Amino acid sequence: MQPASDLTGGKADAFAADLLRGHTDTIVLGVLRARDRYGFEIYKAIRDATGGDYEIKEATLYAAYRRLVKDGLVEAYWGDESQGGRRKYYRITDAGRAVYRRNVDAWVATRSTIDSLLDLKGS
Amino acid sequence: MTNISVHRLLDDAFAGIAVTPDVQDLKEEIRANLLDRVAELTAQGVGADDAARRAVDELGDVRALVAEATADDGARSPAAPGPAVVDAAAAAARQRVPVRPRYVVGVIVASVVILLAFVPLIWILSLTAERAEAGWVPLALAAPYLAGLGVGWIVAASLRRETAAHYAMPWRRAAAYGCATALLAAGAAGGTVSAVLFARPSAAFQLGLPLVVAGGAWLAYLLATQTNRRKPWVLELEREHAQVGNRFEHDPVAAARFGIYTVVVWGVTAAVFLAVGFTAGWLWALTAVLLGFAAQMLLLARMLFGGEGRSAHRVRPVP
Repeated sequence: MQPASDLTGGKADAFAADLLRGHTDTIVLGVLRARDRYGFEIYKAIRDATGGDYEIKEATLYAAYRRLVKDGLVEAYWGDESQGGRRKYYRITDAGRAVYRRNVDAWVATRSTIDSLLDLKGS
Repeated sequence: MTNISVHRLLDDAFAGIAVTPDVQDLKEEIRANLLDRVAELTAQGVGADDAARRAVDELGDVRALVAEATADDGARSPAAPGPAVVDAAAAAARQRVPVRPRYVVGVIVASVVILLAFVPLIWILSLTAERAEAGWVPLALAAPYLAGLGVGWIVAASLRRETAAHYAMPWRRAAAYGCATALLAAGAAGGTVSAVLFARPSAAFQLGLPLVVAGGAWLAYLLATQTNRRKPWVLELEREHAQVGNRFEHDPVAAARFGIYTVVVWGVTAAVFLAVGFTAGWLWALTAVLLGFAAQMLLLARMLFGGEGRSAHRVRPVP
């Protein structure tokens, strides 16, 4: 049964990555809560927080920034770096904070529901 | 050195992608992030060229990235109301947030406090001079400041409330708005009352102005740093409206026609106004102005917002 366990390992990874991707917007909002950050800072914060086990693709993040700006949950502005590339900073709005709060609450509720559902032993 | 390499690789990655302002914007954003990633890699001991190549490789398929990041900004006919307007009504209904009883009770209590704050003053003013007791004066002077508390509470509670169009404000910020308006209202009420009681306006400046200035400055700061609180569907609706409003810009012929019709409408209105005024009386002549206004609004509605129906009609093939 060696290959089978190998397969489950791969599937578990994919499962986690999928789950993570579904929460990209909320994760980005969470990173921005404390202060304004630019793309690479956000990427690094997420990468470091997972210990490098999973990473959210940069492409996914760029799409998330665009979506968040369009929905008014985040504001973008260009930094005033004089040399190198100018950085695009993101700032969370009041709407963003409200959505973040709500999503975290929803996740906490869902998590406990799923935990108890996965623990069902049948009758 | 590294920089040149990254810039060239970035240009290569973007080669063949149509350069819209949106894409240019994305490219510049990616450039700054790549430079940071390269710096990180070289700090770890990776060679300059390798670092540049790895940073760009990590981006993956740039074409897909651009497609994903700039998705649904696609060209839509400017005048045609998109699905968002139709959706917006549904969204508004879906997003309806019931008013909490606690909020209603709070507003009523706060309103009562505001009214009570002026009772001592009214009591004193309603008495004749000889019956007025000196004991009421300090109360009448102090009570109006309570009105500020009531106003502040209503402002903060209203900002904390989620509505169909707005998200709830974070409580700390809502509290700051509440305190600022409380200062402002307390200063205004207290100052006005003392000016009335002492029968000299300078009392208002001494007792009210400091609070008004402090509250006003705080409020100005809060308003200047205010970020978006509207829900996505409201923003979408605003974008739609901006596009509809642009119709005359996109269609100069319609704009010119609108101008001519406007001149005709008001020319006729003026003529009728004068004719009726001299014959039937000037009061009746106002009817002409009303009719002219109605005609103008009708014209505006037809030409600015009625475009879609007409052009759809025109396109329909003749059977």
